[in-house]
Amino acid sequence: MIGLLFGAVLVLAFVVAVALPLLLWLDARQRGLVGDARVESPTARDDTGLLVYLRPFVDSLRELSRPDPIDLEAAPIAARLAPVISLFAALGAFALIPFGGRYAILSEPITLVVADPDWGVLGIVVAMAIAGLGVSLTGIAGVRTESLRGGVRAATQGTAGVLALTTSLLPMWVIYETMQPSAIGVWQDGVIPLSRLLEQAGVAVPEWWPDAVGFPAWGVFLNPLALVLFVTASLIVVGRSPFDAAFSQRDLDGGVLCELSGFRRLTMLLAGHVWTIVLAGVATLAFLGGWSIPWLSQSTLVGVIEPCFGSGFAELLCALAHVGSFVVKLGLVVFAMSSIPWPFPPLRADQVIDLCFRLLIPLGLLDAWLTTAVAIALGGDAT
Amino acid sequence: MTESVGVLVMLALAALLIGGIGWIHRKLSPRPAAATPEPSDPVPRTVTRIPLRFGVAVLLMLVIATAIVVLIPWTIAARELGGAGLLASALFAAPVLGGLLHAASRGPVE
Repeated sequence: MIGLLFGAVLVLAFVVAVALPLLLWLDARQRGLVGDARVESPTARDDTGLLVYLRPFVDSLRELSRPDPIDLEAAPIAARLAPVISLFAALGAFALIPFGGRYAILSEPITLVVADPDWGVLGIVVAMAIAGLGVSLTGIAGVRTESLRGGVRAATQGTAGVLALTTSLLPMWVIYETMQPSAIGVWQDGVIPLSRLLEQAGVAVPEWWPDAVGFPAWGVFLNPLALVLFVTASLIVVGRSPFDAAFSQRDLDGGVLCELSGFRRLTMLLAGHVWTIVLAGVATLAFLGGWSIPWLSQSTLVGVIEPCFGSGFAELLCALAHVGSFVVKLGLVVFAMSSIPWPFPPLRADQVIDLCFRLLIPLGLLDAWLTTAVAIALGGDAT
Repeated sequence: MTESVGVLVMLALAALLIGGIGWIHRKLSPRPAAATPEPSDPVPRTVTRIPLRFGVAVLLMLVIATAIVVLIPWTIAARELGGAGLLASALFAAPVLGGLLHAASRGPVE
């Protein structure tokens, strides 16, 4: 139990002290508020060194010092709690993101995930739906028309996005045959030999051809279309550019955020950022091999280190390497999610829903059927 | 069951963190009674008419969500069930997908 608590505290500390400041800095850089490409704006700043890191915390404290325009004591419970629901669900979902595999350190089996149930990835999808409920409740509990409109648009867009995101994961569940976070990572910790592919294509492979020649058994190599659909749906769910119309359309005046201030505004803003990191974690787990190091499986890595340092230390080093691998991949996905979409023109909320209905959901379903058909044709082996 | 305890632990920590942020807000911000009104007072909500098409879009989402929820267990057992399972899932979801594309082509959410 103490180990579990320690792990949960470590994960939360990583989110609050590392991932969130990094993402907020990336966002500010994208908007030209910091960095070399600083724009002429009253909010632009020239922070350097430690100030860059501390800025998000200072901004958060400044936001918390602002009074709330409504009397929270007298407000209905929906108005008080609604913005908190999204952040609560997002932080809870982090329990299901594995930062590493299973190790035997000091003769104790250790799994580097706070919770590892067999419904893990589905639990994250459910948490996303609950977060959408928080957004819609915030809009409904507001006083202004813009708040209601923004809440309805954001919730509708978010729900369509969650549906598209779930369909994009269907083919991956067909491949992995599990939703358990650690099992998905373990599945990808290996290499798909090129010789096997050549044999299936009817090409004769010489006997001396090594099995190690191939590509990592990552989801992205097995089903790249699913990754494209997943990332697009993720951007829709978290309302990042170019799918941020529910918050940025001129007639909405900020949407659900327009009458939030202080604690409620900060929690709502943080929820969007935390969800970005959670979804980047899911993308890393389902498509980029999770914690695995390409062409260096856990057994190989432990086997190389063990003769020099012993079994326990080898497992410990392996665990540290895997955590590093996961964090680097997570950072790259977060960077991609906060940077790549900017060149595209923004879409209206109804266009986003249309995109989900006409393209993302049908493509996801077709992808799931095709993947299943290929897996069955290969004798039940999707690889 | 034991695998799920971690989720409860994380939710408890999340509640503590959010509670801590709320406590800081209470200490830093003016008390509600002393709060000065914003320069532009909230504009009271006017009667908002939500188009009927929006209701259709929401119903579509419900139907699609139901279809996807039914398909999720199939994906886990898809390889075991083989061709018959694939055919059954296609027969189940094809009308929903066809209806979705038809409805989307008529622009229910514009």
